Amino acid sequence: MIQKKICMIGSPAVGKTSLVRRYVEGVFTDEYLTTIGVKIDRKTLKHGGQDVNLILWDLAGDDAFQPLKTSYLRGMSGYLLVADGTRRSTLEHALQLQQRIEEAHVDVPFVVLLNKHDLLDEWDIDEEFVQALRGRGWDIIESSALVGFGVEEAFAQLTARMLTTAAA
Amino acid sequence: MDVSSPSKSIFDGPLMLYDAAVLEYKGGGQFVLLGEAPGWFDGYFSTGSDDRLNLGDHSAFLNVFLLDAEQHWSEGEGRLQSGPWTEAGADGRAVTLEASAMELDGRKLLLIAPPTLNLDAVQQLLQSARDEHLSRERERKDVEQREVLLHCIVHDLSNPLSGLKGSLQLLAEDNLVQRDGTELLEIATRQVDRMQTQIRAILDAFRADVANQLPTAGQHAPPDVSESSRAVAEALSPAARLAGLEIVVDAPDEPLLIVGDRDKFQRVLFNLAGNALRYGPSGTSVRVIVQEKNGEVEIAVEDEGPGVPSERIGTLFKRFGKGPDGQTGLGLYFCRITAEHWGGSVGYSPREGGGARFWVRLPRRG
Ligand SMILES: Nc1nc2c(ncn2[C@@H]2O[C@H](COP(=O)(O)OP(=O)(O)OP(=O)(O)O)[C@@H](O)[C@H]2O)c(=O)[nH]1
Ligand SMILES: [Mg+2]
Repeated sequence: MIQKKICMIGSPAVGKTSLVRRYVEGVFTDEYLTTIGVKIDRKTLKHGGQDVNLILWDLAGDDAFQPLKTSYLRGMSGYLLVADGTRRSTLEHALQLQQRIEEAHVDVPFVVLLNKHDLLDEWDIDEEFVQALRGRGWDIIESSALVGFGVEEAFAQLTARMLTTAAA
Repeated sequence: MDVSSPSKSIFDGPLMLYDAAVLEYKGGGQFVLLGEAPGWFDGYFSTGSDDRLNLGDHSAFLNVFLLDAEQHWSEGEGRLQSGPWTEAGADGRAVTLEASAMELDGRKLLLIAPPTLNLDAVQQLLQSARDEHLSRERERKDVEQREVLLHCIVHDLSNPLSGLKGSLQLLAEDNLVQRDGTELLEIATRQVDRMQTQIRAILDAFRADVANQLPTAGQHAPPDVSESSRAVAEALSPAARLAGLEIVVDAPDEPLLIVGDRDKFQRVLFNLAGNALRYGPSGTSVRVIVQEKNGEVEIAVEDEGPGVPSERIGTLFKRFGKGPDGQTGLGLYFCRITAEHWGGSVGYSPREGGGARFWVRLPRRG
């Protein structure tokens, strides 16, 4: 069976753990319990008739307290770059993280998630900026771990990208 | 326990207090357990009769960490620590563990244990630091939003003043008032001037720090585009007459309802038509054209002024964007966020035959 390692990367409290829980267990919790170190989960998904075993690495949010450990990225086939759509700074931070990953010579597909899209009244993202990023060929998906939309789609899209990259 | 092997007894002693497994690396991914297995160990690694274990087979995390560990055993010094990780073992139970690699008397050792004592403290510390960071961000955002809201309000206060001033001047010019009244008119005009100056000063103070602000989703009366266009044109007509302009509305007679709220929609129109009056040359007209286009309603405001220089078009609707004359203003930005909030859009194109054409497209209601 095909195995793919996916990392969840982004600022603290953007919803990385919640997205994985929604995807793997189908549940959501309001309470915020910050992740220490890394939490690993598995989920099998069907892609083009074959089973793909995803190993999900939910990494601690990157900040001065727990900076992203690039050694954790080893063997990764792709990543979800998560930002909190109600906090513009987390998207800016996500771009910096993407750059850091690129500089570490990790060249794998990624999909950007603008999470918490259920909080539209607090939405803080400039649509033109998003369009500009899409113009660069980036995959950007609005998601909500709370409501559950965009989540399956994000993992499926990333998987599709990982498999075409592997085939290329 | 084999007391003749000192290296074993060390690991059996105090470390067992911490539930630690001590393993020795034998090469080729194979480990041998030294001493007793802690309680969590057998289920986690599904140890069988074989005393050689391939840890990487059972844990995606260790699989990666062992690459670093191998390098550390061959050239590093001291202890290499993995940091905590949580992963389900062979028995399906998720456990949080920490690993460290070290070399002792030429033996490559790996210690694995649940993080002890300090993990709770670390968790609490991090949690409070992050909670605090979040609440600071939230406060900052609240303040920002209040400021922008205030800015929009102040901005809107100046709109009726232009109309008021226009009316006063017309009264004066057309000699509609008796002699005693002219003095009162002058006083009133001066008061309007003072208010406009003050409002401009407040707006200047704000200009430095205007952040994004979504108009709150209004549950008010839905706007009728035809009626609103005529109302705005009427309110602006004194100002238009003063500038020697005519303001013409070209809209269907029957009501044309759109998504949104009436007050905010009229503010959008005030902004667009107000701009057009400023740039339209005397003797020409400003047109408000309402059309229905595939489920959307387009409201275009056209003037016959100089139009917008091409280098300014890109930033017209930006938060700190400059208006057609290069002045920073919030009006067009307000139009944009309002329209987008209702699922619509705004735009600019040069008017055919010269001048500017600003348009708003909004979804039709119903
Ligand atoms: N409204 C809303 N809240 C969300 C959503 N996703 C996560 N949250 C909340 O945001 C907070 C942080 O979520 P987590 O999933 O713990 O965030 P994280 O990115 O794993 O955070 P760290 O582990 O600290 O890096 C929690 O209170 C969640 O309930 C969402 O889609 N909508
Ligand atoms: Mg987390």
